[in-house]
Amino acid sequence: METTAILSVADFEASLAAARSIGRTGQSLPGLAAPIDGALSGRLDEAWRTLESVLRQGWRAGKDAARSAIDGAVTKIEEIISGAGELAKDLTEAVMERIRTLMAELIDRAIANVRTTLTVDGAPMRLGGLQVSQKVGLSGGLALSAVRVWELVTNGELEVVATYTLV
Amino acid sequence: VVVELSDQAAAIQIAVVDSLSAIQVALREVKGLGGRKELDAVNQITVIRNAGEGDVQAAADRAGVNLTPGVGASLLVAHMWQWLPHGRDYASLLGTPWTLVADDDAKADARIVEAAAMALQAVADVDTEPDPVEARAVRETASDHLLELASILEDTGLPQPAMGCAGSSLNFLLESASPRLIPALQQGIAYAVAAGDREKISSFRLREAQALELIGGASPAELRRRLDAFEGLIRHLPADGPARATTLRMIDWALRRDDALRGLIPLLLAQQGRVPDPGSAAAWLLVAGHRMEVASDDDAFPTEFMGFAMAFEDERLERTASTDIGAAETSWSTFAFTHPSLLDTIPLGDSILQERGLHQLFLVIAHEVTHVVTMLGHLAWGTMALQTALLELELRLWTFVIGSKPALGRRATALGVAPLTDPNILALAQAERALEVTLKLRALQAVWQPWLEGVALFGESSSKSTTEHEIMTAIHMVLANLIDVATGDVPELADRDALEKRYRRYLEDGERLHIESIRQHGRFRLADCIVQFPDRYLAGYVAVRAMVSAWRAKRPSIDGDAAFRLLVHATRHGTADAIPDLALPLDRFRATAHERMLDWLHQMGGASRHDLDRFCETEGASAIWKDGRYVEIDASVEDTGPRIEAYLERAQHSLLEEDADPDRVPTASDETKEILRAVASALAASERSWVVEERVLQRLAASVSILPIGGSDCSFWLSEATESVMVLLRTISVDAERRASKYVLLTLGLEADHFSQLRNEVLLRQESRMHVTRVADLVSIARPVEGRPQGTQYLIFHYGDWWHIIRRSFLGDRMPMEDSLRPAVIDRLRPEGLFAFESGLIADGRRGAVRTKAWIDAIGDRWDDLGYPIRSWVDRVNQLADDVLTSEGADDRANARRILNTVAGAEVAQRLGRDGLGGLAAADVALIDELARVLHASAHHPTDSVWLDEHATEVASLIGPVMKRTSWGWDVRAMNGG
Repeated sequence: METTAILSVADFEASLAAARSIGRTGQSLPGLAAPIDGALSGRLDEAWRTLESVLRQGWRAGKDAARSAIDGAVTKIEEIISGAGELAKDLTEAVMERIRTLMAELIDRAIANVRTTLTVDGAPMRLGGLQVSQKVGLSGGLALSAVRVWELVTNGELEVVATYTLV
Repeated sequence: VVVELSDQAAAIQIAVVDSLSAIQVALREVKGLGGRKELDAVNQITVIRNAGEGDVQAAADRAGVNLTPGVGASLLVAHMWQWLPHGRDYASLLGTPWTLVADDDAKADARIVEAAAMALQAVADVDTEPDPVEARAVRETASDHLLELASILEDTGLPQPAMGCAGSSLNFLLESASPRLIPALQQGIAYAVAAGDREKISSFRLREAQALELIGGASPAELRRRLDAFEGLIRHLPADGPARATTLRMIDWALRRDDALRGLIPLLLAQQGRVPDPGSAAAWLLVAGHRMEVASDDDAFPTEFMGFAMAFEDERLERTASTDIGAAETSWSTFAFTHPSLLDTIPLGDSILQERGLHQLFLVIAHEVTHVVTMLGHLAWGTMALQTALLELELRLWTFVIGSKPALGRRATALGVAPLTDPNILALAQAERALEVTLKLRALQAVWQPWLEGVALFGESSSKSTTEHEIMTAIHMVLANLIDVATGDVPELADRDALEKRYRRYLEDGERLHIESIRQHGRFRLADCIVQFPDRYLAGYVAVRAMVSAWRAKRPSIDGDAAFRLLVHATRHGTADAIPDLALPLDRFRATAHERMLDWLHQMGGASRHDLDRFCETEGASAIWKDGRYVEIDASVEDTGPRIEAYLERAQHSLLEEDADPDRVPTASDETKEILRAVASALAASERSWVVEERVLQRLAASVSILPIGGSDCSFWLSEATESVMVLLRTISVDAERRASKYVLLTLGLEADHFSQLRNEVLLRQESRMHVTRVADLVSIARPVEGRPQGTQYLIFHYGDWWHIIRRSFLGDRMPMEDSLRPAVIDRLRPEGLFAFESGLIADGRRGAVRTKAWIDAIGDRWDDLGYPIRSWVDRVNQLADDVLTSEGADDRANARRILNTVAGAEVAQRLGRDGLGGLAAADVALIDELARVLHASAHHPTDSVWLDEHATEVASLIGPVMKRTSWGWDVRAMNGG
């Protein structure tokens, strides 16, 4: 049967946190130490915060969210990347990695919310299979990936076809 | 040779006999040995002792003879003839340790005899031990005493017998994988070098390679050590004879058992394309380049050889580079910095411009150089004094192990911390002092760390335009001088004005690069630091900005450049009163350090318009900051020497006399407190002379002005025909275009004598590589020194006692070298120098703490056997050791809050101190970047911000009133109620 896999606020926050941690070691610095790649990670974080900010707005606004917001964020992210000079390629890859992680986390968490058992007319049924019917992309360029994750977030749910079998 | 277990008892007997022979050789150097007068004295002593009249000292007293070094030596040698029949009774010879009667001329001899007596005693202990194979500790003690004797012999100018004693000491370390073997071997090699004994060095090198191979280890550093050891064997392979066969067997043995070593071969072979058996020793030897000397008369290497040599370097670095260095770091111990891109890399020519991530690299170098330059004042002197006191205490702790203080020489670096074993009240007191000094060092560093980080971070974002080079800071000068311009690149040489302009352009090019780095990356690095590492950076950065704003409120024209110079100057030359009395008890020291640092912030934030004007007019020449006032002084007042002496005197007085508070042990009884007082007085009385003299410390302080920037152990080859040395330098760690390392084969033509000296050193020492370092000269940041312009850089080539310095930077090939440079460079870089003591022996006090804790634990209840009520004191020392081992960074957040509270008030301290910029993120993560943008833009000068105009109230409600709109635009709110 066709159903929807709903994302909770906790799912959304946890997915963002997982994505945000990509590219961060969480390592503390000893003595008078300085990060050697602070310029790259600073840009990565700013790009990410730009995206995260509109994703949060989109989450709150839901389907009413204006598409122009994500387009504006993508433009800004591309500016941050192009200003990185020779580090631009590394930076693009790092941003993409976070987007991929966020998308994967959102999908996993949404699917995990699909009920695994149902009772129909007193008959218990167990989830036997599940297929995502909505188009969710884990490939493509930065702009496309950002828009896809934004769409998923503003929907707040994932359309899936779940198959239940009698126990 | 690996000794089989079954052979070990026999090996010990051989070791005993061998050591007797070595000690006897040493005693031959003592004046009066075997003389008639001395032998008469020996007879009298022996007769009395045979009659059962106590020990040697008592017998000498009774006989009325002076126990001179000659008598002592004769006594020992005479007794050694009796060793085999009487060896097991030998321990009774000494009884209590001797005190020899020696005039000034015989003091060196006395040291030799006393150390020989101790060594013989230790060897006798091995000989009388029922199961010496099992009694590892007894054997190791004998080894230690022989090494101590060797050290004294070398000190006395007797390297040959020193080498013999060091060689004998090795025989007692039966376990071929004993970590003690390596320092002992290195000591032996050093004596053999001093004695000029090539054959012995070969033998020690072989054993060193074997020991390293058996000790093994998978870490990059361990692999590098043994790879370099085997490379050395190959490069110095004897042409023929049994030594060649032995070395080849050793290499073959290592390759068969060591995957890591063997793994390096295939790549080399692929370059050569002609080796049948990759695992064999022959494969290594086919690496023709590893001959030390170039056979050809032509100094140009064949192309395929260079290809091989570079590929080998790449592979060596790939496999042996440290993988755990993810940050650049300035050391409080060495006042130098490390950067992963400059490890094993030496910038040359304009190579730095081709480094991948150049602008990011420039910013980080600027950040670290700022640390070094900012520390080089009272903070460094106070720190050095505490470190030196710690070193002194550690050497004193050795007296409880070997009976006397080890000489401050090569031996000290090899020693490590003193392995205390027995309960001893004075050792406990010295160990406590060492821990207190360690914790004071930590406290001083922790208190000032946020400020130093704030200044360095501000420096990354403050410069906006090129300034006149006369007032360029040392940091800018170091960056500009990273690029070399040779005479051939400057056609204007003959025209003085044109040359001056060319030099100005050279400096401006460097500065432009720095400013471009700031423009490209400054804001992002700022955001990264204050968001990701708020405990480390945020409080210090806000403090710096609040102080700069306070200055701008009085003198609005202070831009980022001027503010940065002022910050650096004030930290270097204004913190004299902010350093607490270094002798203060720990708790008071900590509290005072905090208090004075905060007072200093207040005072500097309150600097008057008048004083700010004067600074900007004079740029800090011959002036200091005192109580927030700009005070002109005679420049010599800030000279390192007298300043550092004063600090050292107080640091050394920790826990002595009136500076030892008996209430520091909270549960101490009155009797315990009395003991604490008595010990503090007794130690003070016994410590009138120090191993580490002030002049040594002054040399150390002077050498700090040489800043190492990049260094590497490089392959090199000698060309007899051209009297030159060719050194393979990696000049780019990762090239921006090819993403690979780049190398340059640098040929140095040498004077005949200089070449000959190098060749002799190479043949003698038989090391595989030459150490090359690029250094920047900072001596002129305090007072201009003729001929040593600020930031000028040099390449230092170093092999053993051979040093070669070439000037780089602008027209370095044409400019003369000032005489004072060389000794400062050698003091700074020599591996057995004072900086090595710090890292080898002290290591931030951590090793001492581990030792003391283990010592206290191992003694357990036996402390009570001393018969004193000192349990509470022992517990306190144990707690101090715990604090050293666990306190790293523990107080960072509290310290950050105190600073924020002082410069920005309670609300900001509470919000930023708790959550960093998290308050902004909770509302909208994008606010963080908007604020970082304004912070970065306003560092140079207050700035307009439409965003902040609209969001000021919201921002203040989230993180407190950090920002303020001034008449000139947005800026950080000024401290002192600004």
